[in-house]
Amino acid sequence: MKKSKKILLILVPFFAMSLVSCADTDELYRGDQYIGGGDSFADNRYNVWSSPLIDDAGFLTTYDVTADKRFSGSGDDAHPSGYGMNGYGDLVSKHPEAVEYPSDDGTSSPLQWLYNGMDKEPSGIGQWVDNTPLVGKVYGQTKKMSLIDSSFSKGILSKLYNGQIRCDAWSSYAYLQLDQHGYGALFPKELSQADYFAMVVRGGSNTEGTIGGRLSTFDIQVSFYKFPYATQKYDKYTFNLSQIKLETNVSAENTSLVGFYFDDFDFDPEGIVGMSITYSINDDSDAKAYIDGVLQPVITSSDMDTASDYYLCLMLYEVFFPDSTWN
Amino acid sequence: MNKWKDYIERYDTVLAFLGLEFLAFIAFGLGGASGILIFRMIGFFIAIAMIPFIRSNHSNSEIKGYLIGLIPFLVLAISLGFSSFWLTAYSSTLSGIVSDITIVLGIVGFFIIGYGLKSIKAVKFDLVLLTLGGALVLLTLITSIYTLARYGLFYVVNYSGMVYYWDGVVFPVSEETKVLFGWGFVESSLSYACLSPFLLACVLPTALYISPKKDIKRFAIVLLFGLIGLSALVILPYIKGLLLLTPVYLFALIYRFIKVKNEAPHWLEITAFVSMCVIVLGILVLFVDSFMSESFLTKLPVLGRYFADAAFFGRIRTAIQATFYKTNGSFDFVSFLFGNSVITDSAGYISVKGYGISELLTHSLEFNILWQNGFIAFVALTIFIFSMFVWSRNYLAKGEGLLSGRLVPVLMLLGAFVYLSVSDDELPFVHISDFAAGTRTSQLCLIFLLAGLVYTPKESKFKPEAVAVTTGNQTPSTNSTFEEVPLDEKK
Repeated sequence: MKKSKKILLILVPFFAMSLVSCADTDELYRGDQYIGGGDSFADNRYNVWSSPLIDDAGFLTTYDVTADKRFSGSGDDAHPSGYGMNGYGDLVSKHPEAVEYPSDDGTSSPLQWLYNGMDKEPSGIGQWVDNTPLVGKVYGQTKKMSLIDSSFSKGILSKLYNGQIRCDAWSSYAYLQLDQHGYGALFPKELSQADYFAMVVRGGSNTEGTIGGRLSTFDIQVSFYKFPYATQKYDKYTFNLSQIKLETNVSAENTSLVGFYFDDFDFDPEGIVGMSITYSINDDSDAKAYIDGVLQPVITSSDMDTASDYYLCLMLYEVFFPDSTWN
Repeated sequence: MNKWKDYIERYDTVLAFLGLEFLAFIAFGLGGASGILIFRMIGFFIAIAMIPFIRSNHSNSEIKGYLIGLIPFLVLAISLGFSSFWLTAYSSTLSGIVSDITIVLGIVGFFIIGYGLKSIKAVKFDLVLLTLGGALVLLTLITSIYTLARYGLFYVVNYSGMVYYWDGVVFPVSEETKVLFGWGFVESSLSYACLSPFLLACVLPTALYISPKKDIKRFAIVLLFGLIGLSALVILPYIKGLLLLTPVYLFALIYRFIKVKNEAPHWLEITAFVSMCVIVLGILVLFVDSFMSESFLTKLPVLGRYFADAAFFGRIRTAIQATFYKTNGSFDFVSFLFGNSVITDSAGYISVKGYGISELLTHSLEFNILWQNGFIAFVALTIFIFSMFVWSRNYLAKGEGLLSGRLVPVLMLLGAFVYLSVSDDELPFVHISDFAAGTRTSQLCLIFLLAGLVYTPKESKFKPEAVAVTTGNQTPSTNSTFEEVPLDEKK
């Protein structure tokens, strides 16, 4: 073989590889995208849908998640977050076993919503920190998806899988700001087994200047998708959670854990490959804003495709399938 | 030295192999943090086994003179291993002491291995260079190919300002790369990952010293090593690393065209002395500025921004203040001499005088050593660095073998000094928070091994026990203790 051909033989695969793969650059964002960039509240919304979930709908089933079959925040409708300290109170009262964490000595102790006032290890805003010391102490860090499978650590949706259940001054680093069209995404793996689904949410609004915040009521639709090999279409299972009361603009730390057990609906979660969340505003009549220096009631909208002065969004912090297994 | 004759004849091949093997392991960084812990200990025992080879080439009075001259080096080794910081940094004091002992043994051991390799007849110097270069090339190629596959060509420029999410946190993609650490790849800062290719790229100007017509293989190998290192920096591109090559290349270029005899020309000595004085003066000014209640350097026109709190010199000022003063502002004698202590609170968070580790870290290895190991270590390191320049000068002027070969470790040492003085990163990993102190890395072991390789005290005179064998067009050295074998020799 000629020398030039030998060199070519070495160089071609080298450069081909540099052009085709780039696995770590396939999901990049502008530095300030979704984290405070842009001039308006609407600029931070996340409404991305994985295209197969829109275009390839198959069988559809719906379930009504009534109050007795769900857990919602602290259980106190007047203070759903338990003053920011007990966002999982309803789960604890209805399913105390869900928050028990086994110790090495055979006993168990309950996981805290916050540990020493924290839901994660202290770090600079937007800076990664190892939260392993809080595993076994804090609910979010113990049940987070990225701890179950590291594939949940990648991509923007890893915000929902990192165990951070409130702002901790991280502002929009911590959550996804959903408009009523919500988002739909495929999971990196297929669910094998899970007992229940839970999400950490609060209301968020651009009615700035109204100190103390308010209660808002949401009708939330959580859909799961399976992909039967026989039909090759995404079957959709929608769980309607109506009249969920959440705190809006009280504080970015006042979040609530909302969810349900699959057994209560005889629903087998095995095979779930994706999920979506949409919602509508049921009641936001307490919304007020200063107009011409006077505090006045205002109408809020969750449709950010239509221009409005005031919006109400669902701030989604975390998605859990606690203690689940994935293939 | 006849009492060592049997030993030397029996074990020279084994120790040559072990010495070269350790050089390769250290240059490759095999095994990561665990690997270097083991290699430090084994390296020390190999070094002990090499001592008879060194002794056989020197009289007792020479050895005694060397040991006296190396006292600052021994002080450096001990103070880098043991300090207030490192005695309190570990969760268990005992494991800390054991680890610190391995640091001291490793530094001394690798320095002796470097020097010992020159004293073993079975070791051809070209083999030392091939082993060193080969290990760095292997590491660089593996890392570069994987980096290309994951990020693509020129991603640092192409994706500037872009971020990706990992575990819910944004990371600028242009500030990281992949590095082989331990038995897998991890994401790290560019400055941490690029040291190996940078050292390799330092070799490139050596090609200026070899005639391709007379020794094409040597020329091609040196060119290949250098180009692989340079390419690894260019494909990212790591612009800071490329800029830091400038002083190394300039030195090689200037040295190529000056006539060096056994004694350096006066102008070179004067230039070196003035440069040394400027650096010392600069450091003194930096210290004085740190002692002032308000920095006067930040008020300098144009240059002032480099002395702002978060800037390069501003961070050094913080490190100096933390070393000299207690939190109440009084002089801290213990931390001044032996470095700062680590405070671990009940929740397990560590701090140093109220600072987080990341707040005290500078981009200069020397000043990181100041706050971690104290002023004694800092002074010993400064003396060691200046000594290295003197040894390197002696080595280039009077050392064995071809100048092109001798230039390789010298350029690498110069490069390492330049690089680590302004681009040291001790919290380099992106997705893990491991502290990679400069004094605990395999790269520092490699630097001490290279220092041992170039160690040439002024009065060094090898005894002509071995007859130098030279082939090809090379001029044999009359007092050689090892053979200079051209790379094209068929054996």
